[in-house]
Amino acid sequence: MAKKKMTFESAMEELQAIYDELEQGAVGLDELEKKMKRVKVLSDYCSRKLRDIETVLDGEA
Amino acid sequence: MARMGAVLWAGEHARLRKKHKDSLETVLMESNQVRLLVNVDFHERFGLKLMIKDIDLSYTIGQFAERRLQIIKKLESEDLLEVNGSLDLPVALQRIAIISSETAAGLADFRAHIEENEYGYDYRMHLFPAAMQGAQLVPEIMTQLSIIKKRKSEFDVVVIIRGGGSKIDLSDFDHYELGKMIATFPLPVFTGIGHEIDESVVDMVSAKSFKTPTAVADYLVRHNLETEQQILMLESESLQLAQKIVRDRRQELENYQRFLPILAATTLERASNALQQILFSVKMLFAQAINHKERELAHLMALIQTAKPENILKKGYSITYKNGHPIKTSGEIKVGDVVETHVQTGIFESQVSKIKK
Repeated sequence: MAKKKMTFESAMEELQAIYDELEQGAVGLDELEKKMKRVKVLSDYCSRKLRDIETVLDGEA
Repeated sequence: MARMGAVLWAGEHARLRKKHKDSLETVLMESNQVRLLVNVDFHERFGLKLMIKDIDLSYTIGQFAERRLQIIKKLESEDLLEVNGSLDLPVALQRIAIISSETAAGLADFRAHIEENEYGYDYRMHLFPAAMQGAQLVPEIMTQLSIIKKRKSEFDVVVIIRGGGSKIDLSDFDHYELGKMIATFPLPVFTGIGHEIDESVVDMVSAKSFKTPTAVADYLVRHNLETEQQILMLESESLQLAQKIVRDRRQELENYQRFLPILAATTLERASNALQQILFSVKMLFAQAINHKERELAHLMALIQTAKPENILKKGYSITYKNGHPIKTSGEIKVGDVVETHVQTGIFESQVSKIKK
């Protein structure tokens, strides 16, 4: 199956899903490391996206 | 009805023309009713004649006003007064079809006003010449409107303009067919036909009417300025909205960035606590097992202690050995054997004299 391209919205949704799992205590220790590495990837991606958009908007202003 | 001819001699005409200006020609048109001041003149050869000395303009104006009201009433009953005005104006008004007389005062003003607008907007103007007064006004304007109608995709708006004129001149624009044509015209029609007080029928059915051609030009520029301002405002508002969206999403992201590690740490701590709990339980179980074994050992040791020979001797028992081996049955000895008996305080030897089975 082709991997779906990451978008800001999909990344935020995934962050929310991880948040919900963690909050419900549904994440085992074995998964935790993997999840937190994923959080880093998603968070970096979203930060970069927002920075890019801000650069465009600042250019418009 | 009696009929009688009336003569306006050139000299009198020139005098009246000076007095009444252009209004004279407007009033002295076919089908108009006029009130005249005349001299009755009789000539032997030409007979009875009326010599026109003056004309009462207000009488004819009254007639015009009456006709105008009837036209308005008719157009109103046909719901035609608001039709052209209800057309949507294009976002930018740039392609202008001008109906005017090439010589009309006001046309040059209009063009200059448009071309020299202070915002530098571009306009394309095309003149469709038509008489702006007199008998040719209505047919010529209607002809030009028909031509423009066929080319309607080339224009955003039609303007009908002329310079100032008298109130009587304005009555040329009070015409039912022309009014109807403008009312149902597919493009918005603006008028600037130079009057201060009254509106002509053409003004009433047009999308917008202005007092002067310059006022029409002002409006065309202002409309585009407003459009541009709206675009700029939309741009600025869009930018602000976009910035707010980014701000909100950043806040959302920062919440994840802040709380996810805390939740992860909680998960880690919970796992660690569970591990500690298991280790503690295992230790407790080990301790219990060791304790149990220790008690068993102590018990055994106590038993062993009790069974030690010196402890047996202490209780008054003795042990008899033959050749260093304790004698457990009478079968191990025979009469005459020397045996060694251990008691608590010492050892003595004895010889077996008799064995009882």
